[in-house]
Amino acid sequence: MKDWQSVLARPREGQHIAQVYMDDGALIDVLAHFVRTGLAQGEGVVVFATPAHWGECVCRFAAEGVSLHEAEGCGQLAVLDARTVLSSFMVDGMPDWKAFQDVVGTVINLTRRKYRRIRAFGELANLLWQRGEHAAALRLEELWNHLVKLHDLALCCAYRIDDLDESSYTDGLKDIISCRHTHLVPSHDCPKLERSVGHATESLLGPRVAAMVRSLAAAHAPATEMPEAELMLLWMREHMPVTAAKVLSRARGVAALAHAAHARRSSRIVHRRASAARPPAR
Amino acid sequence: MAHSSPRESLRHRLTQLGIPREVHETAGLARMLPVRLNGSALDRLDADALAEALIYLIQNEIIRCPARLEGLPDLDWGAHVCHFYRGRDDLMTFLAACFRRGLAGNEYCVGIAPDAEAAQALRAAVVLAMPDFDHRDRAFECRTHEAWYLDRSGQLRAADALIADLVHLTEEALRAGYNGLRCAVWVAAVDRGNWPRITDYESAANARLPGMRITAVCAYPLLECDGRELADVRNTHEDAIVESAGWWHRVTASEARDAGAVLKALQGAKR
Repeated sequence: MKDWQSVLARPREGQHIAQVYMDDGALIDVLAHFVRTGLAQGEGVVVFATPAHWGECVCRFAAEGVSLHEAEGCGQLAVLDARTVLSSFMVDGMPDWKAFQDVVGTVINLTRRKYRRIRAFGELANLLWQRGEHAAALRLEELWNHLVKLHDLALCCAYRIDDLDESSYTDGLKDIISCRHTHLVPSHDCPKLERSVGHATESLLGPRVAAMVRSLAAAHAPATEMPEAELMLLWMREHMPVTAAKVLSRARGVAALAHAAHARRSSRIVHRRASAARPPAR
Repeated sequence: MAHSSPRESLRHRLTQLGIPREVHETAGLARMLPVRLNGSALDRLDADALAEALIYLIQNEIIRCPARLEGLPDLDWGAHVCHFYRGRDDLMTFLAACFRRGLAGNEYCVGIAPDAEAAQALRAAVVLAMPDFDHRDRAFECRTHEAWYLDRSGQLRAADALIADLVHLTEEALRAGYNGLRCAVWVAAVDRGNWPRITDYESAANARLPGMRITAVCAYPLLECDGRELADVRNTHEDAIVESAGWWHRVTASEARDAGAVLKALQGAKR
């Protein structure tokens, strides 16, 4: 199974990664990982994030005893408010290439002067996506593709999308993949997602037909590298929609059970700790 | 919860594609798929999901509508297909049915068997399948691999020479008043030492046979072929025919990747 963490830790020049996440906690994990590994490898890092998300990320670093001041001071790390940047290049509701290049391209250029390798993290397209401005988000991804090529940078775009939600496969993920992303990194714990989707598919079709469907999906895989579970779901959504809905429903059930079991375990641990801390009854 | 029959919209599509309503329940649909499924597990499978898988395969012309052996459409002139068999039973059933049709259609039939004993067994299967075989005895002959494929020094003959013999045999059959030639080769084991030359021959046959009054079937052991050999056989024949649970499937996919996925699933039975 592919190590998706390493894709984010060591993205190559020209790679355009789409990171899907479900909640802010997961986004902060990814952002911190992306920034930490970039700085550690001596790369220039440019972040376009909302102040709230970046603030949480800074707290995460502070808790680890890591200060970002030095990196920011020497120009290795540039952080910009995603909302402000976004509003600066939107013209008539669509991203404008010249304005985008003036703002985003300039920051990349400045970092490029000092650092041979650059990685960028963006929430820009997601902001448009969440506002329902899908065409503008997809146009922005095209502009990013130009910039990635122009500056030979590695880019990670984060999208808040539930990859166990059926509607995500009708337009969301499919459209995002169509933007020539090189990788689609899933939101859930990948091995768990693979297991729950694999189990659900096999329970509906039996292992042998499921294997055939997996092979057919793999045979028609798009250029975007993604986990087998996402690949299967995207393919099934298009060719076996009833089955896709049932697989997702079962996978959600498995995920919910796992979540409940985790919550019960955590609650038992808290209870045990509280009992241990209580003085023994006389 | 699994349904015993798929929803009506899927049943409608299945019917349009030629799948009769009487096999629309879970077990029936599972048998129509070109994959062998474990009988005891069938009830737990989902009829909608099986129906969608079957619809995808037929709609995209990856397989033709499965049929009972007697309902399998006959081969057109120039056809060069492979038959992947699992055991001697399905091999003999298929070859006997194939020759029965050929003999009934006034074709000159040639079976090429691995050895003399196999040739005898093949002849016996054809005789059994054809009550009036005695009247057509002169139209059927069985040869051995050694006699057909090897030269005097025991080496595999060149593809051109083998094709020339097929052409010659067809011309003789036509001159003798037959409608054409039907040839079936029974491959008992994958000859890995000669594999490149065998695939050369199959490719040459695939290119030469269209337009001729000849039909050719090459039967390969499904479970003995590895992934590469399976792909080579599939790619050098027009279609692949295989039996599963009493139904005959014709894998027609023009794209090798689709055919590969189906054949790999068919092979799953050996694991």
